[in-house]
Amino acid sequence: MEENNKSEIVEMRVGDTIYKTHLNKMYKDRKPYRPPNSRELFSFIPGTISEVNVKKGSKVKEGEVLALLEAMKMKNQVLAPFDGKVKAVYVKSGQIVPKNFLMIELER
Amino acid sequence: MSLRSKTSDLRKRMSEAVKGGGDKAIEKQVSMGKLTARERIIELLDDKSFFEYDLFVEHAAKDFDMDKKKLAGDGVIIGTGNINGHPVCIYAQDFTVAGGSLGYMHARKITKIMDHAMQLKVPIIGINDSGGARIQEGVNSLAGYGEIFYRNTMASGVIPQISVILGPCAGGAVYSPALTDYVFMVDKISKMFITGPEVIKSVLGEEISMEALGGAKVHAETTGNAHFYAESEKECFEQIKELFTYIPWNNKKIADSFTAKPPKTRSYKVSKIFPADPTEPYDVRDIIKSISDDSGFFEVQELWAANIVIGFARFNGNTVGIVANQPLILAGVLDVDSSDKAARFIRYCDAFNIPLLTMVDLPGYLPGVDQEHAGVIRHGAKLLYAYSEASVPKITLIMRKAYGGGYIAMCSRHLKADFVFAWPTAEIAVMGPTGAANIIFRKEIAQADDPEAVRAQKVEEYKQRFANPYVAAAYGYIDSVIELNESRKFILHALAVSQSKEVIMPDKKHGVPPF
Repeated sequence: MEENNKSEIVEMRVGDTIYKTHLNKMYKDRKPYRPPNSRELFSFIPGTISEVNVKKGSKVKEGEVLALLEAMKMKNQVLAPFDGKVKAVYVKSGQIVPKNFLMIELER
Repeated sequence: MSLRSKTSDLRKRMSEAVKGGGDKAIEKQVSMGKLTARERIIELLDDKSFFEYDLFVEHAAKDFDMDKKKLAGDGVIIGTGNINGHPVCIYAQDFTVAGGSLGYMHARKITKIMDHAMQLKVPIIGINDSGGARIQEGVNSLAGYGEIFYRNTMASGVIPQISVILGPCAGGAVYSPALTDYVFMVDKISKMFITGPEVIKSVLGEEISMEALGGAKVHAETTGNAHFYAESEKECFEQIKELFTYIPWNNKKIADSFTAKPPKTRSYKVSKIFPADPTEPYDVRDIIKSISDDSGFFEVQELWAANIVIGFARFNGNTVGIVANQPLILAGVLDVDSSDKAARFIRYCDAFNIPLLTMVDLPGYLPGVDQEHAGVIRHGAKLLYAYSEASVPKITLIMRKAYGGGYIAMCSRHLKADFVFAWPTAEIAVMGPTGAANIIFRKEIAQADDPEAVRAQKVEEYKQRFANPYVAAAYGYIDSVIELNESRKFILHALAVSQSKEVIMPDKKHGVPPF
């Protein structure tokens, strides 16, 4: 509780009313929402990139395996969501990536 | 052998066994600021009340040269004793013996004392201080954990189960505490996580200390896994002893009764604490203290989801579980965490015959994409389920705002509250005045020459007509609109007349709550 008391009383809007209150850690740590973009391929699990099959400019077909993300004793395939071209590759083989790391960017 | 030599042989064996991992290991334990397992039990239990069993149990592992190793008591101490004069079963893992690692016989000792607790219908206290599974014993250690989890689940709602984390508790081991009623943790000593910093580093390359990953503060504030946070082991034991004054020994009993004392109304004067303006914050715990016996309040999960307050107080000497919105934090909104926190507490109180007092002042649910995507529907439903299902006496006091879904969820008449009282400051309506006026008078506002003036006028009209307790009272949803300083009187009476409450539940094995 001491931390909450240290923080300042702020104004917070709920519905149509503005209330005076303290904020908590959970609220302060909120991340703004980003709409999903199928051109950006993020890691869906933390792990190690064990294979990268494409480079900048590669033409890819929908369903093609672009890379392997090894995690939890499993070689997870990173697939192309549509026919297109590789705009950028941000990972290399052997690299350890956290969750939600931008691995590959595509363009149509 | 003579009787004397047999006795001295026993004494010799015992003095060796109670040394645990030996002087060096004990020295290391103490240097980390920790008590030894046996010291902990003695510190926690009533003076001279501890009796130990299974002191001479040995492990039966053969692989990896384990047959050449002797582990005193196999790394765990079990026994019975008293707290506040009542019997309890207890076990404490001994980190000085093979790191308190859990092997087959170690687990058998724990399940033995758990079975005792269930048979004797007394609380079980587990002091966790273990490096985890004893890898040399392979699948037998996994079996041991599983046997413990099964018993935790069977004992849930029958006897109080208390977990005290006084050292590492990692991997599968964490699920025993998670299944129990209350988890106690101590700053810098307790650590709980599924995967430790080393694994996280090797897989992710992320560096994090044990304390930052799963220390007491983290679990008390961020994850909600810990119910009580202490600065020292001594403080932790005091918290446990205090908790035991509020809870019954099993689900067929009620908590001990104490001499009734009036609240300290000079320190906690409700007219001074409570602002009538619904946008002004106050600490709802001060309101609780203005009505509880001796202004006492024993808070549970104080640091996590602080926008709802849960805990125990006494009324006329008897324990009552309190759930109260906290306008001081996030205006007292309901969200994913606060719904979880309150729902589990309500189910605890219901399982152990503790009447519930709900104190309402909330603007509604926390808006936002993150809350919707975190499943506020699923989590919020737990609160409805828990309140509806609870068959203990349920008393609700609506202090200020009770709008929309928040009104229903906070133990409304419709979820079968026995008594619903409201202060004259209560505002009970389907939604806030501005939102309601905007919908109901949309056309009139749009067609007006001065829409803003008409909007303001309509909002004010709505406020006058509906932002009060009298509309709900007119339908009988509120039993009495009471003056602020009459609250204790009404609550005491409601508790007194509810003592023989009985609810006939529909015939079912169990429900399917939105876990």
